[in-house]
Amino acid sequence: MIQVAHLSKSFGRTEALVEVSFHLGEGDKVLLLGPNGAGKTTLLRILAGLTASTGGTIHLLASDRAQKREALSRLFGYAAHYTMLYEELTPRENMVFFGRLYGLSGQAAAKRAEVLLEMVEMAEDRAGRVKELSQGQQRRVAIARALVHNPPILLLDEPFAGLDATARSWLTGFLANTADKTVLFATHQPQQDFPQACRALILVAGNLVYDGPFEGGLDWRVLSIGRGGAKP
Amino acid sequence: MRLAFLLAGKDLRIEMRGMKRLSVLLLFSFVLVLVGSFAYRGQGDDVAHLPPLLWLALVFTQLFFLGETYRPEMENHCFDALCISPAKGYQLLFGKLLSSTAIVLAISVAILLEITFFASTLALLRLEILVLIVLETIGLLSLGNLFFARMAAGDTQGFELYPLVIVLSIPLVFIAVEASRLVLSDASGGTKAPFYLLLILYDVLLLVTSAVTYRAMIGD
Repeated sequence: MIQVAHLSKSFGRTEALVEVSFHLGEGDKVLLLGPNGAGKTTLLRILAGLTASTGGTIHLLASDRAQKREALSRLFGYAAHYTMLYEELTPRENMVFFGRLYGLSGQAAAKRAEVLLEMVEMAEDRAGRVKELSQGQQRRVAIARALVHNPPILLLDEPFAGLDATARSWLTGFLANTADKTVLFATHQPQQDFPQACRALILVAGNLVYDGPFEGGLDWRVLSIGRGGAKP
Repeated sequence: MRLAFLLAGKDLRIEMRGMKRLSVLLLFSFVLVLVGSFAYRGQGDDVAHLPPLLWLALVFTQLFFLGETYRPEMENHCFDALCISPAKGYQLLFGKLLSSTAIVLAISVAILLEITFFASTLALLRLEILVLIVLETIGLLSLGNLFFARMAAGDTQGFELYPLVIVLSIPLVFIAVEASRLVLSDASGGTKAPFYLLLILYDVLLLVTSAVTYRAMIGD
């Protein structure tokens, strides 16, 4: 579905990503692991179209050619540890706005907003302003916002950060029901957060040091030894 | 333009709901006019001091507002959500430009009324003055929205952008002040026309440049 080839990114003299290559297939559930500063967020931001790479390519295998930014933006849904929601608007207004930004008609965006807010169990709170919601509720709406254009690939950057047990439990349950989506999930607690993951990518100091099956005992800290990462 | 109107509509809805920026700008402009009126008191019926007072209040209020233009986008990193959407750079710019122009023009009308009150003259209440304000506002906000988008993208704190915007907008303000003087002195249309033309040309130049470079400006 997506082929990332020799992707590099440097900030001045600091190399955040070094020739990273991997493939994302349809429906893949992939964990993105690594210590702080390994380049996980940079990789997700490049895929989402927020940061430009300094080298390498992202190819859509379906058309076998480098895709334009607009096509890529429709392909990815991005949810980060911040919500990207307007605080003065209601969840519904946020959803409709972003839906229309992605080309939906007003009516279609409103319908999509209803469906997604129902899905993230926020239908009853859709009329209150975002700033009046709890952090966990805001995170739910943020996930719904990332899905508003029905992207086939979901990029999740530490979505559990700052969530209480109830919100974590809800998000874990939600992720279990994303069979039709390809998910690339950056986290520090893979077993707890995303048990459905079948594959892991491990980044250490911008280098992809592991791309293989995710097993319970897999510990990115062990693989980091000698590559500039954290010690176990 | 559909996306530009969508973005502007969202901005205005947020503004009307909170009224945060509008109320602060109103107070700020009122203080400027009040201080300016004291500085120019004793001018009698002479209206020569009105254009400098008007443009001083307008430009400072506009510059103050520029730092707030992207405030809604900076909460919760909403600007990131705009950047990863399929919206093109010029659509984002025009959307922000529409909403910020609407807000600044509302404040401009308030400034005109404040000066009229303090100077006790109706001299500034002319359509031509309003046209000049619109032309100057479009130019300055095109420039400002371009530069201050960097602040929303998290690339800068914004403070260092002010000197850039001020320097680049000097011709715009200079032309507007001179044109206002001519309007108040009831100069002929032929005398004023070159100033209007210059303002329009400068607006077009700033608009096109900003629209073309917007995406590059917010990228890293």
